[in-house]
Amino acid sequence: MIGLEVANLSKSFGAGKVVDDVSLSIEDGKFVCFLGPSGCGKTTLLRMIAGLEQPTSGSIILNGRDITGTPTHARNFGMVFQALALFPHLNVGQNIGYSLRLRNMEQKFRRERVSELLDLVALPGVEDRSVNQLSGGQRQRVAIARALAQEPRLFLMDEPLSALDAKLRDHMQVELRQLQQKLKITTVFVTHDQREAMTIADTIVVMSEGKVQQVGSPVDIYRRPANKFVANFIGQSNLIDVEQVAPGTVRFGETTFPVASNENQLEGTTLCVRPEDVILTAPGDSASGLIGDVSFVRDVGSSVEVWLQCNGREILATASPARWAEISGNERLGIDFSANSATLLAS
Amino acid sequence: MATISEMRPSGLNIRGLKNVPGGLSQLPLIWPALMILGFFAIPLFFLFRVSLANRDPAVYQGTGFSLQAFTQLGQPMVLNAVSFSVMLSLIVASISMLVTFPATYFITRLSRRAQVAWLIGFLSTLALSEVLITFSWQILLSKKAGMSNVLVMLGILDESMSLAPSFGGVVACIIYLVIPFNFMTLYPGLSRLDTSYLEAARTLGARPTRAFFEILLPLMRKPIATAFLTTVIMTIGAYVAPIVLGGPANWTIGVVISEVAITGQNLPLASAIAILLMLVTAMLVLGINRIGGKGYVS
Repeated sequence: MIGLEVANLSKSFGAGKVVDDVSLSIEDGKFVCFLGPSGCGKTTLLRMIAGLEQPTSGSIILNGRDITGTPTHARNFGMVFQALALFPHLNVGQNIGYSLRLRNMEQKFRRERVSELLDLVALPGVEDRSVNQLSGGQRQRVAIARALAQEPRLFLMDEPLSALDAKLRDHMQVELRQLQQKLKITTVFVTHDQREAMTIADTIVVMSEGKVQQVGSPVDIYRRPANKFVANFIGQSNLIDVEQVAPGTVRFGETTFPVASNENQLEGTTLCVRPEDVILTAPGDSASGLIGDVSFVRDVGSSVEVWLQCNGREILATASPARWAEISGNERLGIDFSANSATLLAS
Repeated sequence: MATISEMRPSGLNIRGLKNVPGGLSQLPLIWPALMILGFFAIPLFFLFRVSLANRDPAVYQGTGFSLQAFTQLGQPMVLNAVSFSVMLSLIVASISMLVTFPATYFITRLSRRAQVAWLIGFLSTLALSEVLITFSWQILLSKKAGMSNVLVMLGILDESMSLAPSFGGVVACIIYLVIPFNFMTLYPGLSRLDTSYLEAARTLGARPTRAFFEILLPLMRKPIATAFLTTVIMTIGAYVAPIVLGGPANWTIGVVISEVAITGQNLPLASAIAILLMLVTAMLVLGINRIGGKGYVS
């Protein structure tokens, strides 16, 4: 069931269009990530959903009701801010209970609900502490609990983990995902970190220059990028200009070989292959007939990254240490692409 | 300087500076110490000395030692002026805060350019002297050329009237004088305030007015208390505005001190009143500072 729908939403600041005609639908109970480089409009889109910015045009529809003009305080969306924005003049319990106080909940029930929420975020018994006494991770949890206290219809997060160190961040990603699955709350999360998006999201919305580039599951986006921007932004990829000689057959330099391709991408002339999908063989064993000169090798332990020169192009391949041991003697190597892994993209 | 003291073992006697921590590096502090001594401590000492003297018609600053001046502090003229000054300063500070805080808040929400224009506007009124401003207010409040003529034109008044001398005139003029100072005290805190506090309050369900009173005001408690305090201190010693725009009922303690010193030729009593004023001010400072707390936004 579609919970939140965004239709032709645009936002301009002065002459610049920050969000450009974005349309999306977000299913109930899903975890959606807006992913893109800084300045791509993802935060502005989130702020429009929260009601903190008014769209220049377009509409926001929640469960069939147009809420574009509804003020923030009447939307009942919980939001976690990048700077967390915990109120320094209130203690932990008062921070979490603030939305309940605004709804005139009795003190007794409020205290119960606050302690319930603190249990939920694995931080029991800190109601009376000052928010300034908490560590970064603890403040994070309090901010999440505060946003969930009002049982929001939508849970919004604007890069909430960016201030944490890498290890704690990994940990919070998993915990956040588990929390969301437990509560089954529709969640929109903004991040510029593709690893983070892949870890926590059901659906990733890749954005660039105010436009949606692709919407799909993490695997979809990684395996079948819609265009060059997505292929480049999500993970590493080899983007090779090729010529299509027949449907599903391309020519690269002097060599012609078949590729798997999405039906609708047969027009494309850029071949996208992930480094781990490049199969290195002994020079004579290559099925595609492509041969490259090894130019640089980096052994990172768990895998070996190999740069090859092939028809004047640089191709990056990763091989398992065992595979590398078999072929490392050669200065030239055969290059194959595993089935269904090379995609054609529109240029 | 530092290198010299580092070269020698600590505790060495350098030109009589024996066992001073840091040795010669403390030397530059002598300058502010002299300034404090010369311009603060010595005049204060004279004030205390004169307040303890006997009134002597032949010697303006009095002679000998006695507590005569302090025993006269209980007279109604002094006590009335003290309580009037405290009341005036609290009223002025309160009204000026009601005007300046919202105004400063809205200015900090404007574009950079607009903010600079407002800043320049406020600061330029500081270039006008207190005396000039006070006499301008006298004209504004007068019968012939004053604001009442505008009210007559608008049909609010039947005929123009003189609005001074009056308590309201004194209050209005002093508020005008202190507003730039309040603005400068509140501006840094408000312009640095992270707007996400207010946005967070809105997402939690707070209407703008509620967020203003429950989030913004408490976060700004310290700057507000500081601005309030500055106004109280500036107003409690007000002199020109009460004389020009007020009647004898609006005399502040500053006016009374000058009356006693000049017309009454009683410098010991004037000194004693000044010391009383300092004590009252110190109590207000401590009280208001306590209300202000430690503050949240650095």
